[in-house]
Amino acid sequence: MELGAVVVIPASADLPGINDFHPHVLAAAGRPRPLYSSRMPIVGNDVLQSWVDRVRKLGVQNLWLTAASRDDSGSYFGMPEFARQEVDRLLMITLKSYAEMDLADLLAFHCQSQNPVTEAQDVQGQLGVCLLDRSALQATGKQHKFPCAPSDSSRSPYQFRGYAKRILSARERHELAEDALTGACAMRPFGKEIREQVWLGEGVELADSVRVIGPSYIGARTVIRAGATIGPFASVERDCVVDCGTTVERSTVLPCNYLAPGLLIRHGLVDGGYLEDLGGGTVADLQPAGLGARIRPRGSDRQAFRQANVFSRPDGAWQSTLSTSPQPWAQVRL
Amino acid sequence: MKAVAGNVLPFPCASSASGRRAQRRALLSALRFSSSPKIVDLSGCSTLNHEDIELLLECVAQVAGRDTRVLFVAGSRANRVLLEVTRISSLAPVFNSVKEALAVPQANAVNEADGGHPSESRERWSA
Repeated sequence: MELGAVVVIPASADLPGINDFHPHVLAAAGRPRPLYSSRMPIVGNDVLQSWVDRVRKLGVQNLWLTAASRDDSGSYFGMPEFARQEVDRLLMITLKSYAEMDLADLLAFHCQSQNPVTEAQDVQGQLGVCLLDRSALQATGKQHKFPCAPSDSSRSPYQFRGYAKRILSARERHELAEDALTGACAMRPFGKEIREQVWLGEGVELADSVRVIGPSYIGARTVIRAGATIGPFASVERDCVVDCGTTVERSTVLPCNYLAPGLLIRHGLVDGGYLEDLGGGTVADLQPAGLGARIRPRGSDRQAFRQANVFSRPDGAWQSTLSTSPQPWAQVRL
Repeated sequence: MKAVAGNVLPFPCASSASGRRAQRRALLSALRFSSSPKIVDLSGCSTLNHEDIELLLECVAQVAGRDTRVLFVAGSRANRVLLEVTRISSLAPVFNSVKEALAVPQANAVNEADGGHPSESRERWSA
């Protein structure tokens, strides 16, 4: 039986539902802020790449990629067309979690249970991974329903008991980074370990007076200015600038962010000039006070982090291209 | 009660620049000449810009080296996060509400009379 695989990148159309699930993710003025892109690196790693590696191990030859944008009928772009592809079984991964899942075990469970649909879940619920037989795929095309929707209670779920984190949530995203820094999961920081539990990416600039306390990660081309302190349990991703005297502790700074001098970023996640407090989920806008901002990456044409070669577009560009393209599917030969 | 009300100073959040300047002058003047603890209330501010951060630091500077204390009421979780990020919360105590802050100067008076240290509630909002 031919097995196909598709990875769905959650698009903005799906975010209101996610915001309902995380109602605390509101900016200062009460507006929902965009959630974190699943393509944003975690200690330099692309979670998509980790899933692609797992799919490859399964012996799947072709992988389709798409953004989960809905068309006018409410159906997901391309699902009916996809049902006409010559695959007997489809592995569908919605890129919202990192899970160290043995997909061969999931496949074996699916075959044994003989259900048309098997979805993987852990104690917190769905992981965004499901297997569909051809019959389920064709029904999906006819009914314009998204496969693996949480409505069908008749399915027998695959209970995953291994390591998993949801990467759309700031807190779990940072927990994953901490686990990668301490070796609590299989993910490893993408860079050179200059001393115990301190990793630096390529082209990092550290002023002489900078303190880096492990476990910590500083991504490629990031600049840390005089008197700053990074760590412990800090991840400053690629192309950031941390200005003089600022401390980043138990926090994540996502790519292309500037942090002003003298700040104390503790137990937070910084993205695009916003800071989310990992404890209470409060989001503060750093921009009006000039405390933080989105900045352009230095040398954006270079591969910035451990990202699949076939998806070498900058964050976001890939997603929007798919959303507006008449053919929103990209086929990748593994 | 009148004395208590006089100790609470609204942080300037006026929409017009002139109104804001007047409030700013009044706030700094009140801090400069006061000998009793003052509570600066940011409840009216939905967010803080760089001028606000500067003014908060000026408030701290006005009472530095004197017996007068300044206390801040964040008014919102986001403001509290900004006060922590800018380390202002390490310079002056920050409270969630005026009621919570008002309890402290009275407690201070008692504590100081006893030779103890003032107590500060630093509880965060529950999630």
